[in-house]
Amino acid sequence: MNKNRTNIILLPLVAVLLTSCKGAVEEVYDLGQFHTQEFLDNYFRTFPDELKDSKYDVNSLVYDLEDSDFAQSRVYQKAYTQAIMKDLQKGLITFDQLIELYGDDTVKAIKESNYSSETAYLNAITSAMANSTKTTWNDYARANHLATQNYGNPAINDFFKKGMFSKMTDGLLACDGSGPLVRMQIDENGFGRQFDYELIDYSVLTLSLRGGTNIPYHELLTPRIPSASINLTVSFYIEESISNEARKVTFNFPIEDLRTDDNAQTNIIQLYFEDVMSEEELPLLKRANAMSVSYELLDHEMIRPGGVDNPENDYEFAVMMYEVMLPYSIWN
Amino acid sequence: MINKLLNNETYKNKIVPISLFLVVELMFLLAFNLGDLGNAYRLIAFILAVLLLPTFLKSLNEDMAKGFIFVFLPLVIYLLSMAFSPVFGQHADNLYSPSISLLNRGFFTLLMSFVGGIAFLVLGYFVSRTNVISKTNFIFLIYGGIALLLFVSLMATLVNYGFFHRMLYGDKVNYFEGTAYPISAQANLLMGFNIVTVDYHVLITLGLLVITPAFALVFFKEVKKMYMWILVSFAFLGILTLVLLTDYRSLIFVIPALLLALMLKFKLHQMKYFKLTMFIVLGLGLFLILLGVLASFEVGFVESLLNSNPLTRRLYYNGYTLKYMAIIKEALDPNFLFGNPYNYSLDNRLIFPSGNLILDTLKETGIVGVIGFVGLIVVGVKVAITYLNLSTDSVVTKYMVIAFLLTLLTRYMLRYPFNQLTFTDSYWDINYFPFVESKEFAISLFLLGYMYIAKPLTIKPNLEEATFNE
Repeated sequence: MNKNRTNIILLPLVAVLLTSCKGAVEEVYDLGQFHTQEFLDNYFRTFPDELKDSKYDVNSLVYDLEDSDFAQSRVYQKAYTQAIMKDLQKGLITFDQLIELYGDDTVKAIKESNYSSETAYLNAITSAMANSTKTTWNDYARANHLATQNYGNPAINDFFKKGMFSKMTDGLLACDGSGPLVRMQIDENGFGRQFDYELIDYSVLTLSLRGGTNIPYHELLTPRIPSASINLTVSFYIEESISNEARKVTFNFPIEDLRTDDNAQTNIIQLYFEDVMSEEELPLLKRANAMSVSYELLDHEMIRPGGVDNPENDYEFAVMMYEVMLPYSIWN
Repeated sequence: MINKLLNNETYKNKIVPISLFLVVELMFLLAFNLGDLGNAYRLIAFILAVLLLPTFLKSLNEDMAKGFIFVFLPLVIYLLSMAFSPVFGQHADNLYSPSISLLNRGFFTLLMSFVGGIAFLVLGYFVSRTNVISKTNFIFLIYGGIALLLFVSLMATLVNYGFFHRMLYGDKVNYFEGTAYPISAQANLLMGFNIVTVDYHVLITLGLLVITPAFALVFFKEVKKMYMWILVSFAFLGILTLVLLTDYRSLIFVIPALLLALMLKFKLHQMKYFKLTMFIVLGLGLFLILLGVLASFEVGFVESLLNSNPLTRRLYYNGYTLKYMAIIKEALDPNFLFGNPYNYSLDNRLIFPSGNLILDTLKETGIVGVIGFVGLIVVGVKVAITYLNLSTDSVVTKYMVIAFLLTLLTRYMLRYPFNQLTFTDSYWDINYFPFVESKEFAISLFLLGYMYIAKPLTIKPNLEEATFNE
């Protein structure tokens, strides 16, 4: 065949092959989807079939956590004791990083040269840090959200910036005035997310969430019910490989007082894996490349009082997820 | 000293030809936007201008006196007003807000824009006054750079979005950093060494620019076969872009270039009533603009007139023109003679950027800057007419040089993409692309300098002699 003719046939083939990638449109949604006035239309229910595969149930490890296993806080409270100082104690950040990331002007004005000993300097810094204005959970999220952590590979950052899951990685822990645009509304079956990268190293899991309902308080003329009780389930999925079988590691968080129907308040959950996993168990999360979040509503005064569905109404309860962080994680 | 340099063999036989060759290379790389190195390109242009200045100093000196100074002056006014503009300047308090447009350009960037602008103008002038470089080749190289940039960008768009994505995903969004973006507004562009997501109009503009030279095919007898194929390839790429991005309406922006080609082909400009017709069209245009300006200042009888019928109401009170009027209205504020950084919303849409190059310039550099800029356009038109009439360049080269400027100006009157990047970290991120820093502006100045021909002084006939002769 004439060489030119071969080229003419090959060119469209190359073009078709090129367009098979379509990275920018692999996860698309309708304009305004999940952001409607109709509560029931706003559930995000994407759960990849692969994650429902029974292979993960064969090798499943479940941690039923107790209150004392993880820290609970609210978005506008300080993260100093429950996260920042613990990170320092566990060696996840250095003293210099502590000052750089979370020290306000007062902290940064303290110079070692003005103190007679290192101990005196450290004491001065520690007491000033306790009053620093930059130790809120929002400050913690700014330094640790998945989209901008320093992985040494911008492609990993780009991955966490794309898709609906990017609502969970942008560092916004609560409503910023954009309403449903910044959160994911999930039902009890929850959602799943696969990652292009594998989790190699990990220390902490931080979550921000609240409850929400479609109860028309203003029509019923009843006071708002600000709290609900749920059991939150977070699972990590590890695909089978030459060295290991498919595995699922699940953490069940009992949250007795989940802030509900209050846009301004979210619950912050902080779990240090080494606090609940033994030294032998810690590597089990290695190579995780997917996660899912689901929950069970245990108690809501009007929707499921005492854990039993209220037959007198069909109001809906949903968990509003704002953020999933894995501070200091390394991905490959 | 200059004579000594001019007689120096190394300078004459090596430095000058190499520098001229580098100028053409620079224009190609600039058009391709290799590396997105705006300041570096301006610096190189300045160095080349300094190297070539002694050779062309005498000619430049003479032409300055003959009128080149009138090309320089508005440019200098425009560039200086940019340097003094509060929009371009740096602000210590970094007060970012959607209602304030701050470009935060440092001293070096402003200096480079100023020096670079003038350097590109004189480089164009130098190239026109040498026979070392083929005039046809250099203009093809400029278009070629743009075509290459478009080709890579279009391929990237196809890889990431597939065919006809604007049509297939018309009402769909994708998410970036937790924010939804309409897919139909997106395309990929090679910016520097990265592929970035931009407003698809950026690619459409490139497409229109590479379609434009194809109208030179009307002079097919004067186009060499090799160039003919290049022109066809450019046109194919441009049309392919418009088809794949499903934006056929933008073809209206190449109509002026098509009319120019037809005018040159059929020598319409030499016809008896051409000048008169042009003056009438120009006068009508100016009258319509004047009405718009008066309406901006809410002059009662003009407002009543424009609102009195559906045609003028639609023409003067639409989404575009309301923004324009808002910008014009605040332009005479003496506090903002060099630009107004404060922005406000009109029907939930910020008035700036307006999409109109001249009005964006008015907002950026104030009344002083826009006088310089409009002056530059007026002088440019005059230079282009003289170039058409007096230049010895082939009609193809003449057409391609002027058509570039014509299409660019037409396009940017309605669609200047001041916000190009689609995905930004947040709304206060600097995501502005002022024309003064664009490669299109640098190329335009180069072509303006290239087109400049000092009009021969017309000698008034001696009346007595004339009478005697009769």
